[in-house]
Amino acid sequence: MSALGPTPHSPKTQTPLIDPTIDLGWDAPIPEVELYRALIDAAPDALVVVDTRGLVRVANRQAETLFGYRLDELVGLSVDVLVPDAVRDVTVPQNRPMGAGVTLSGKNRDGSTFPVDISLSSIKTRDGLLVSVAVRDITERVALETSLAELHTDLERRVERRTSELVTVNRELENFAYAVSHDLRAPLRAVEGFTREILREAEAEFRPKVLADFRRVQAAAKRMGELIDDMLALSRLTRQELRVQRVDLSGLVDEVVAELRRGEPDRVVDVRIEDGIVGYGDPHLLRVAFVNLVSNAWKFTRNTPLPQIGIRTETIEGASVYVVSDNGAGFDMRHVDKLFNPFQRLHTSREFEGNGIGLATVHRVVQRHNGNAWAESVLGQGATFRFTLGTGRDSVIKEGAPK
Amino acid sequence: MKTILLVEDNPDDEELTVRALDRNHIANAVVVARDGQEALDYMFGDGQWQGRDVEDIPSVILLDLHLPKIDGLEVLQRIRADPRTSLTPIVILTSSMEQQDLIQGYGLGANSYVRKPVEFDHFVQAVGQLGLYWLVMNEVPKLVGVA
Repeated sequence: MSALGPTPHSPKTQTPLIDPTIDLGWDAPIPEVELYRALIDAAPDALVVVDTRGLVRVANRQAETLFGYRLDELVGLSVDVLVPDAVRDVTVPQNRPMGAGVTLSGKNRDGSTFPVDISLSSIKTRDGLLVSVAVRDITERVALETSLAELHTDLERRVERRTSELVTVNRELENFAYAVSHDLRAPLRAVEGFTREILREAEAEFRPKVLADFRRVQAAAKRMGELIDDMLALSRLTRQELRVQRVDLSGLVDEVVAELRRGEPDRVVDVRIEDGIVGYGDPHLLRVAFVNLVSNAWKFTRNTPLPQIGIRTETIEGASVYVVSDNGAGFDMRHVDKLFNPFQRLHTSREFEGNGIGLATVHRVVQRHNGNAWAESVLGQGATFRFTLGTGRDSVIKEGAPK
Repeated sequence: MKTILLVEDNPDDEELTVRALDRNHIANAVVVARDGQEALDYMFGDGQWQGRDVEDIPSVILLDLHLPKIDGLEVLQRIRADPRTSLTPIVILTSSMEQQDLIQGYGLGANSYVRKPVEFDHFVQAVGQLGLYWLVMNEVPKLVGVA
């Protein structure tokens, strides 16, 4: 037999639950009184049987333990002493399950009380009606329920507090955006404006080196203004309400490309857009995402001899994926984890201009649509960006055949 | 020639706006209110402007939004609410391009909304266009004895 084959079954010696060697005597009569006594003492709950007068006639060991009376003391005792108000009228036949109705209490001999569940069942005998009263101490359960309720209240309080914290943080973010847009731009205007005024009034009096420095001041102010605007735009993406609807993405990308071509009419770029790409999302935000992705592809193919940009869809593990690819400069995959961070750049501004906000913006848009964005690249051979949208079950609907 | 009321708390912005008006050869006298209260005092002849002829409304109010004491939107609201001043052309001139300011500004009856650009040249152009429109092209209806 091969070592890899199934292990042969080996019979094991097992200890049987019932030892057949012990003969109890199958036909021997069972002494009923002892059996009954053993059975009620084996019951998990305290058990008392009362008559129509409400007096205890029979009790078990658990009743002894629970109420603190000896068996002989229990017999003849009024059931009201043990469980006040639990058994109203024993002459009315009743069957009630455990746990039904209000919480009752049991009373120990020492006067202490404890919460109990009581189940009553009537027993008809030749001598008249009896009622068996099963009493279960539910101290632990009640404690558990109480602590559970406290936990629940505590949790609700915490959720409430966190929510109000979030609301506060959101409001702070709004105020911050406002302050940035208003208060930070004002001094910048002064820096730019008065530098320009100095040059206007006295350009002839400065040496070329000084003039160049002034121009740097102006350029820096202008650039900071742009950064503030970009930052604000990014924060607005987070704050803006999402309006999901069907969006013709092929048409949208067409417009984006047309605008890029208008901006640089001399560039020849082979752009291929799959027909009939439709997505479900916020039309404004999706435009922002595609503007950034396609402009990036446009920018990073600037030094490529035969630049190509493709916009298409794929299906990966049943999910529709939007793909924007190019054969441009690409990026070093070692830094891919930083790619979508705001203000993170993977090229110097001497190589390619930019502020590192574009892909962060794409990421934010995709995030707001409950989707994922990822990228891959071979340095010098191009980059491919993919993203999914979590809005709507079928985020991509193909209409018509692809080209 | 009618005055221009410039409501601006930032002295740099005040100076730049005055120069931008100059650069566009807009020779109207410029009255500067440095907070919302001063602006209302000017319009309603109160405080330091006690006794000013309220019927002599400015040709245009250039109104910043973020102002000490009374903010720009409230100034706008109060000027629009008073029949004596309700027809004054008001241009919001601010750094903010927050959607809510724009919507509220127009909602309260601003005639125009201009965001102050960082680049002074752009600002000069914007002020030039404003001047052309509000000081040359635009006829403000005259209030004649409202019964």
